[in-house]
Amino acid sequence: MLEMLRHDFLRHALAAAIVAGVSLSFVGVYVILRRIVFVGAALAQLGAAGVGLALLTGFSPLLGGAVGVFAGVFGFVLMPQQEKAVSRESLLGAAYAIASAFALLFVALSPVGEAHITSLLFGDLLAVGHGDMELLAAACLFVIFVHLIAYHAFVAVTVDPTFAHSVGIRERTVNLLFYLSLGALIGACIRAIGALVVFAFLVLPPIAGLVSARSLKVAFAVAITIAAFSAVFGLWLSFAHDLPAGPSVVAVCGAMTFLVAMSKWAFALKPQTKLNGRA
Amino acid sequence: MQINAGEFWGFVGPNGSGKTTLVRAVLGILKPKQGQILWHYKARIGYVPQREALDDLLPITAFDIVLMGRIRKGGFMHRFSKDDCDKAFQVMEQIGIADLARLPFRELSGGQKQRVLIARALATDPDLLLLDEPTNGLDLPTEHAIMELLQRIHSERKITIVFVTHLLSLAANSATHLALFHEGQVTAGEISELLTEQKLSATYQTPISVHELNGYKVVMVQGSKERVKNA
Repeated sequence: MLEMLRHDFLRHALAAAIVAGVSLSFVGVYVILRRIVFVGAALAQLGAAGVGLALLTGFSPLLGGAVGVFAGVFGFVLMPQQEKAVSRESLLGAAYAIASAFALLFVALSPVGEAHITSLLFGDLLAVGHGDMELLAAACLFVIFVHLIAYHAFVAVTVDPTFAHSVGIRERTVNLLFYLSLGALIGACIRAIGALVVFAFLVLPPIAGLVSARSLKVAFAVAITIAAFSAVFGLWLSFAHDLPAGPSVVAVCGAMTFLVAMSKWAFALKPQTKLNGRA
Repeated sequence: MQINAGEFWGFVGPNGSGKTTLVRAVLGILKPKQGQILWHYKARIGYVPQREALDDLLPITAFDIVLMGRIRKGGFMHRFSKDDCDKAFQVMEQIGIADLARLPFRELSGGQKQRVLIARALATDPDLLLLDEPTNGLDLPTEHAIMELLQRIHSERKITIVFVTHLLSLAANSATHLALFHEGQVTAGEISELLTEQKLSATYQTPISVHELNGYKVVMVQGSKERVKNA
């Protein structure tokens, strides 16, 4: 493990994976609770399409990813709440499919060619430089800061939006802030860790947290711990066994989530003390 | 329809009759297409949703749910103080659920969940307690216990209570006023003037009888057996 830290580029990769993993898994708890996993998947693919377009046109991939994600955020926020002929989920599915296709087409047409297709899905952790790392850290820290400042408002709107409205919380403002922060995070992370790893961090550690915890704070803590551990152990596996970095991180993350879910299931098999009394 | 401070209203009607829509309009979430809602003063509303509104995915304790009631108006950056925590726990004690404080909400029974949601609404120090189907899906003893709790809250705190239900008998035995939602019309008034065979028969356009059994009001459709046979 220490051998890995002697290399400058690996230290950057490790820092980027930890920062991205911790931030994405934190926000991912809300993504799961709000049942908008498909939004996360579609935004990640729109970010990948943006990166692909930037590679084709010669712009900064980070800028391209951010533009793609924010276009998706505004599209989602402006999408009609009332479902008539087509459901919101169907529109998200369409956005996901089209964005995935365009991401691959843009890269295939770009001068750098198909060599970058894998990096669209799994990122290019080992190529994270000083500038990228600082931008990634700034975006992630800003998002976490916003979420901590307005923690109770985010929780209240996620738990029970109607009640939150009744006590004066501006539900639409909180929702807009949530989607903007989600977009900012995905946009900042997409180039470094790719669409699939972004999606994995958004979903896997939060599942483990929500399955195992009895309170929301513990769920957040479990999710970010698993994300951080997956980043470190996944990168070490990649370094020690010459494996691709992104898939190694996702594999560790998936294994950890599976273990937590299984241990919870095993614990649930034990005879439980029934709660006393009714109403 | 006018609701005065301290009254206890039951909004009664079948699913789809507009009861919950009216509740959402009172909360300011929906704007009425016709008519308007006028307030004589800015009442603080303690809202109790249907229990199913809270997802079982949520790992959140009963106490944390009640504490949500202490988020003040515009409390975007609100931090809970010791007073907020004390107040939340005090309300739980008054409702008789202090022992549930540290338990996950998703592990509670239907009646316990309902009490937690009522405690959260009371933690807002409301002028008006607004409940959406508070007994939906509960067994008979639990339903009775919840309605007794609401009556106790009404008599002790003197706050206005409005609850939505599809069970006329439930409202008839607890509320002081009724609003009957039927085929796009609302008939509202005091229980004593509305709970008569003539009024109910006219409202529902079917012969209805009202009986009293050990002080409990029973509302029945006349000739129910024949109606079932012919259905």
